[in-house]
Amino acid sequence: MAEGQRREVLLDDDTLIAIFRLLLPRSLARCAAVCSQWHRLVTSQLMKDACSRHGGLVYSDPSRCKEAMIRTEQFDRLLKCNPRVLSSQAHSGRVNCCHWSMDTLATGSSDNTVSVWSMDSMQCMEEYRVPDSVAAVKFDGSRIFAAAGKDVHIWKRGNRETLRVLGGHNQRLHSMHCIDPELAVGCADGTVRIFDMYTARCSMLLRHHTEKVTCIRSLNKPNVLVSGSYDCSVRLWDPLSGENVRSYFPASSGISCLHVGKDRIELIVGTVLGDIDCFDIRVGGRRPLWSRRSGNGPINSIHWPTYTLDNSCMIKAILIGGNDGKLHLINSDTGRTFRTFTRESHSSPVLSARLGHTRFVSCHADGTVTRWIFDQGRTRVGLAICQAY
Amino acid sequence: MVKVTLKSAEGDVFEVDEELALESLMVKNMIEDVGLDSAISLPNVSSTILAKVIEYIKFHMDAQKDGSKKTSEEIKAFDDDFVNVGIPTLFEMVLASNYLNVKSLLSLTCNTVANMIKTKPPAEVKEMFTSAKQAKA
Repeated sequence: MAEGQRREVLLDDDTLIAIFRLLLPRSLARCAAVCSQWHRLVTSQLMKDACSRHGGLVYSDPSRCKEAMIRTEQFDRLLKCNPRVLSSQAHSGRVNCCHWSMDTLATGSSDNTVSVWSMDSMQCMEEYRVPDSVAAVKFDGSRIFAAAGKDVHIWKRGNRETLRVLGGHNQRLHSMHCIDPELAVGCADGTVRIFDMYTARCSMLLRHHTEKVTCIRSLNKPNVLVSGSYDCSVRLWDPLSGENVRSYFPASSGISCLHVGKDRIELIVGTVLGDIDCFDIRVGGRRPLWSRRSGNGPINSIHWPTYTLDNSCMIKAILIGGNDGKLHLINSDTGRTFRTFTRESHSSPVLSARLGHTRFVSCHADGTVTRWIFDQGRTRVGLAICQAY
Repeated sequence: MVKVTLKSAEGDVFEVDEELALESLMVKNMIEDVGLDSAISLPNVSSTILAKVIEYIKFHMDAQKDGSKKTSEEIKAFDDDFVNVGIPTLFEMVLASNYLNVKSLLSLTCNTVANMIKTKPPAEVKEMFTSAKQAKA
């Protein structure tokens, strides 16, 4: 403790502020991460006053300096460090889908089970059995949703009680998205059905796709629904009127997955041929912002996390997983590959993958779930790295 | 020429020209308050640092005088050499120039520290500042 107390910095607040106001925002962000005293100084009103008085320095939002700093360091680690790769056999069949939030990971598999795992220990906490293969799984604080076969099952978490089964589609379900209180499913006949999850009533039927609907996403602002189908089109819907607002046509192959970030304009679309296109969601049509061709078979998963409240601290990386068993971390601005990850021992198609700040998880066709954890080795922080790409 | 007596923390006495002493706003205020009769005591500044500060002010006053042959390169070289000291000394100079209120020296030393900080990751900056503390202790 005595040691800790002796580690105070030498300069007083006045001189530190005099020094800080000579720094650029990027360096200030680093300074904010040095110690709590510095963070307090950098974010203090005092500092703002000093900056505005001297008029030299303009930095966007000092209260996010530390967060930006941490994100950069984590991102740096994702790009440079060697991860700990932990594989575990989660299911006896293909792990088709997963949903991850905080320490909880839910997986759905072809062996007709939905399992909930602890992300740290990979211990199975809950298991739910369904009559058919699981195509999509989601959970929130109290419920678990799974699209299996022709039905959507909703369970209450904890006591494993079945709350509701939304059935009667007479069509196999391929995708699902929950926007409380509504639940949208993509069916094999090309329809998108929107249910009220409390009354189990089908409130809307969207028919424009001609082939099975493989992926559904939504945006909160504005309230729209995006669906991708094997008929090679991506459609944007107004879920209230059921109108097809806009359409996107990436390439002449079926859409296998898509992702649209919260409050983002980029719509990332993956196809069965292994291509990835990024569209401006405000502009329909055939012209993507960027394209990435690989030809390595279907892209099964695209994930671009938006955990922060605004875009200032957003990382620019998208995690994609495909049938070749490789995971690519790509730049969301250009589509260029930052880094590629492969399992050393046995390669198996990646069916679903989720990216976090310090780790990511991939679900494979051989029933394994692999966690990639980047907690070792501190790297030299460099925003320069992000800019280099 | 009127002389001003400055007394450092250790009690060493420095006799400097009034003109030079007035460069420090703090000393200037003191002179206005108490006059020139007694020595001006500077308990926050050590002898070595005070000597350095006087050296700095003297050089720049000479450089600004009419008929000075010093080029801006020479002045810059002097400044660079002047702040090319150990981190603890540099920090003491920052504090001393802040205390004595010598604007030009404060901006020179602050700029030096800022340049040292700006390319370093937080861990190294922390190390830099803690090592300065320990070296002093």
